[in-house]
Amino acid sequence: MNFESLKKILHLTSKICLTVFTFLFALLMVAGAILMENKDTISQALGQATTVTVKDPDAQSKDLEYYKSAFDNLKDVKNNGRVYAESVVDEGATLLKNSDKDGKPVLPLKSEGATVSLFSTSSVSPILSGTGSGGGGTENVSLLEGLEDAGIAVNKELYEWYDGNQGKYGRKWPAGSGGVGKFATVGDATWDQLPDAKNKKADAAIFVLSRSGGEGMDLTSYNKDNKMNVFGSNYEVDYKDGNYLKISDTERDVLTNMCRLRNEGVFGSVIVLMNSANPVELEFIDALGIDALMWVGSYGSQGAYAVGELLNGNINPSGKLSDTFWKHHYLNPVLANFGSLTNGAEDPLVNQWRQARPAAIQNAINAGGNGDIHNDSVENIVYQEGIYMGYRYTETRYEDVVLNRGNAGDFKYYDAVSYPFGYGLSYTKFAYSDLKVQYVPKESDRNLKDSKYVVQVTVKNTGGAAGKEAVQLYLQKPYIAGGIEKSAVDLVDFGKTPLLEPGASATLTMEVDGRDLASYDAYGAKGYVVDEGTYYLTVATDAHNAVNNILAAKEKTTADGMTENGNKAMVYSFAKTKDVDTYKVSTATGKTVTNQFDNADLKLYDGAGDNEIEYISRNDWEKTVKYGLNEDNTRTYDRVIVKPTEKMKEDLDKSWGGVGSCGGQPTLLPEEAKGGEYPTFGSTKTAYSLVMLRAKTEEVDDGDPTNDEWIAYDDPLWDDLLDQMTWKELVDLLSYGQRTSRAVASIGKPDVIDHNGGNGPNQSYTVMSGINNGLAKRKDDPMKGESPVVYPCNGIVASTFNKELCYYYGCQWGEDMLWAGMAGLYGMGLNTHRSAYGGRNFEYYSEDPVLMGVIAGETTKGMATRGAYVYLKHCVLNEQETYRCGGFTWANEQSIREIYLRSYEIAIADYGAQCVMGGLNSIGMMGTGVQGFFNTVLRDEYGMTGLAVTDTTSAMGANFAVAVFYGNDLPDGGVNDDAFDFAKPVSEGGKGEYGNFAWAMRESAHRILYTVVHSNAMNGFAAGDKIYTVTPPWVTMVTALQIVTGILFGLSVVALGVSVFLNRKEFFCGGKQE
Amino acid sequence: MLEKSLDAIKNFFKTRSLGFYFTASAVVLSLIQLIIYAVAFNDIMYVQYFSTAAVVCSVLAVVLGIGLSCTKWTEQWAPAAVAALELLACLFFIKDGYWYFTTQFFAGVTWKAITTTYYGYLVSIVMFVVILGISTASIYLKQSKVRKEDAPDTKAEVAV
Repeated sequence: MNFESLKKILHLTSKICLTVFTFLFALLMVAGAILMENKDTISQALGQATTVTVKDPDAQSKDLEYYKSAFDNLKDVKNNGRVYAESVVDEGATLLKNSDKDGKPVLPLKSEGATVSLFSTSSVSPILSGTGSGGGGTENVSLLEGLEDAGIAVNKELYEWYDGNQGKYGRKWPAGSGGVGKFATVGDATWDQLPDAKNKKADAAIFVLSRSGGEGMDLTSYNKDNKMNVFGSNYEVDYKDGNYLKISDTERDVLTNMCRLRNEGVFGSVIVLMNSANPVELEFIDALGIDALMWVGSYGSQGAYAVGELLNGNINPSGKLSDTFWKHHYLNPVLANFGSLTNGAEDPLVNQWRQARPAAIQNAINAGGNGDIHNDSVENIVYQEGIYMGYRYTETRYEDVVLNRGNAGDFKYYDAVSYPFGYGLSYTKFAYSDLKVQYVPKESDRNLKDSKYVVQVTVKNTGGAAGKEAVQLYLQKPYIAGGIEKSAVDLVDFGKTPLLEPGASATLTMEVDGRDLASYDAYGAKGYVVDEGTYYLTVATDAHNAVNNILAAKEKTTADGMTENGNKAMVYSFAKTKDVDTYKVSTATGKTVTNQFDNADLKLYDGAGDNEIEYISRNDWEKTVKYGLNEDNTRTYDRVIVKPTEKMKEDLDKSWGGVGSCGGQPTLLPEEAKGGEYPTFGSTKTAYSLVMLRAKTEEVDDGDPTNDEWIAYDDPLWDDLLDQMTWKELVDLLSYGQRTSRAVASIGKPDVIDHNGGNGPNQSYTVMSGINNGLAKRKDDPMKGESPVVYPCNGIVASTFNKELCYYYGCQWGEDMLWAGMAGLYGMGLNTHRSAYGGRNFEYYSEDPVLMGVIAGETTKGMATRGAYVYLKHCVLNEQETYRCGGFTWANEQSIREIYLRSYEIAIADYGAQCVMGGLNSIGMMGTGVQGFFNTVLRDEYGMTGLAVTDTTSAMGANFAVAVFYGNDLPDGGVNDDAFDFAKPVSEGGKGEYGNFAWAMRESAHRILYTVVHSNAMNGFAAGDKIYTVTPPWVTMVTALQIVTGILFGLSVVALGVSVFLNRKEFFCGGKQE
Repeated sequence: MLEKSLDAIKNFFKTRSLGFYFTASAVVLSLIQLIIYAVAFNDIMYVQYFSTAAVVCSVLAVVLGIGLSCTKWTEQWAPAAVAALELLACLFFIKDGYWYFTTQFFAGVTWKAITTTYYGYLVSIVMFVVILGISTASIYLKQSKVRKEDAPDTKAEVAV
């Protein structure tokens, strides 16, 4: 081989190498940049740590488990979870109908040897939970197992036929969050398609009526005429059966034939198990002659055992409905302004809104990484019903019909309602007596926050079976025509008896705070007002019974149009004079209470322009009530129309920080953010570790850390600790929060896991294993790869009406989190069941805020004993999935405070819940994070001390940096590296233009640290422990690859250079071509 | 004068080899891609993903591709310059636009997701692949024909 040949080979080789390594090097550089942008998320997904802790050897003998488990191993934790998952169904499942046959109720089934045939494909695939972030795992006790465990013999041939034909006839529903594609078919086989086993003789034929629900889409009502899903036009629909919450033609066909066989003596009875968090219209129950109906919700992994025990009578049903169960949903006025309100994307109104969006927002809509915002931030959802939602509508209008006032029209209660809120039957009977009410003035006890009424009632089991009774206390406030709107009744407290044997009795005590008597007046006093007039307290079995009792006290009877006579012995009435002063300040914090939601009310918003709204008023029902659906399931579009104004456009721009970007650096900030001295950064005066600020006594002495004397939130020690943080550490902490809060090494704050879900922990016990500090990992438990049991929907938890049970239920959730290394739970879902069609209703509790707040509060309290905190979500006015990402929500302040925020108020002020997650929606034009109410209401009025996290940051209708100024502390996601650069101090010494903003950032850090230090995240940490930031192995690998390909690229360049030099004549002198 | 110029042009193309036409194609496609990209991402809905750096690189690729091809001393560097700059443009395009893809294909790479992808992305991706393929291939191809009268050690001109 001669020199010329070698030159040629060198030249060709170097060209090939240069080509290859140029591509590789360039690709790795770009890929590396993208990977580093998402470093935390990738590290979590790979389970690789970004910090390490070096333990203080002197502290290892100390007990550093600030929050202890009651169990030694995961097996026992899970078994306890199974007990509670079943218990809440035991007590929450609600018996709604139980007809007599031959003088005896059809339920319970005979205690031994009962035979049943199960109908519907759902009998083999019942709904356990929901879909999306709140969805549960896969653990499942089948209905067959549940019934057989209770000694009930199941028609196996029919069951196996359904099992084998699920693929053909089963229902369909998209699996994940924000499902895309076809969904929502009820499916099922017609009667003729069923095998002969359907005719087998049985004591009962049970039809399992199931409906799914989930994140990202509301349930559908498919309008066959215009081929439109009227409640969720975001998603493609393949629901041919019409209204998803009506029984389908196929289901009606099967039920009709079941009843026929019953009439022919083949079945002893026909029972419907409604297995859905979203109640189906119940007109068919009486129309078809169904004998018994039991609501079991979406019942979790253990619910089948409960169903068996309830059917055979081993457990006596004691659940009470947490929602109104409608006979016809189209008579619910909420639907006029629920779901998709336009005629789709081509609607001129949608286009008007699209045009109205500032250009910066248009840019950002996509930058957020969630296309939903593009579709959603053009729609307006108006809570036109005001406070008249659920039973507050049905019972109030009913009362006005009876009292012949308020132009109530020809409203017929039982045309609309099948079973009222609070309703539920038992296998025994209870009698209420000895109602006693005592007024306790605030002055009588200096520790009393407010005056109160203490109510006692005696409940006696007068039937033949042992059972529990949930007792409800309702209040009626005086309505003055044209004045503040008042519901006929409001639930104010409740209690549940212990198990009462036949003949036994118990006395229950309930309380009503003085402020419960007040109503919020947004237009006059701008505060809580106790109106002059007569107030009624009544103990009742349900909301309708409560109104009937009060009407009885007003000397009304069925002759006046009442559906049933009431019991005036269960009513206590008293008079009050007008009081506008007492509740001008918060009973929880003492701070002033005034309007905070003028920008959400089209009557008060200064940018409303020509837009008008008329809320439902009991002053004139006929004029103000609108309906969203016609009886034939077509949409009325009789809704409130909101058109964009210039002020709205300006506010929208403010919400998005002028840059229209969720995670970008804002250019439009509130004036108050500017100016002011900067806080201190990087102080070395002290060297505190976070755990030192946990409690005044470092060591656990009584085994219950909740009893430790905490270092107060406003203790000066916190200033010292916060002074230690550098600007960079502060920015790092606030910039990323996707299911975590980042470690701050210099102050000993570890990485913390906050994770899903809305109705109970649903992550693996080694979730985010790289930073996991849970007992399962630390003890290397053999079951650490498993997940908690599937907990039932929260609606059925609320239906227990059992405070004590829910406290222990919360302790169990806390155990799951303690073992899974989760300190914070993105839940519980505390939005309201405004409509039965809400996609995430399975995560939410009820249509009633007091029931929700108390049940969630008890659960929160239980969780806190295991060092778990909850992000109550999605705060606030996020009751629907359609247009949830940036959709503009409008409501009056009275309804916001008395209904939609009331549950948060109870959970925070009465039970110490610390954290919230903001809704993705906007309140008026402002994203929830920038509206301001996190500070002005949740913190100032309710006393919340913990942090607020956004829902998925990239989908929120606001700029995160601006949101920090308004009290939003962490993003559920990440923001740009430069998001806070505008406020960066010129030097660490603390000079700059945005001192006030820097203080807001620091206060966010304070809240994060205060929350974390009182959580199980600190378990195992001693003051002397040191946290160091480390580079995860994958980052090292990527960097190494970049270096190697960079070197090879460089060598190729050199080789080509040499080659060119050797061939310089050809290259530079116009020589020959190769 | 005109005749002389026409002869020179004629002679220029007469002496061009396959590589030249590959390079020229790459330059022309780069120009088309540049126009489509600028138009498509000028849409208010997609401007967020617009990459100025990608445009600068593409413009440089076109300019250098033409400029370097014009002289015999530099013509062999033209395809490499086009390939390198278009590669950079493509990478900037990816870096500034990958969020779009994470959203578009969030639920999986489905036919529906592909067919509803914004045309600006689809066209850009296809064009970048074609341009990079052609320009890279051109690196290994002759840009000019070897004329018989040109001895290996001859310093004579190929063409002007």
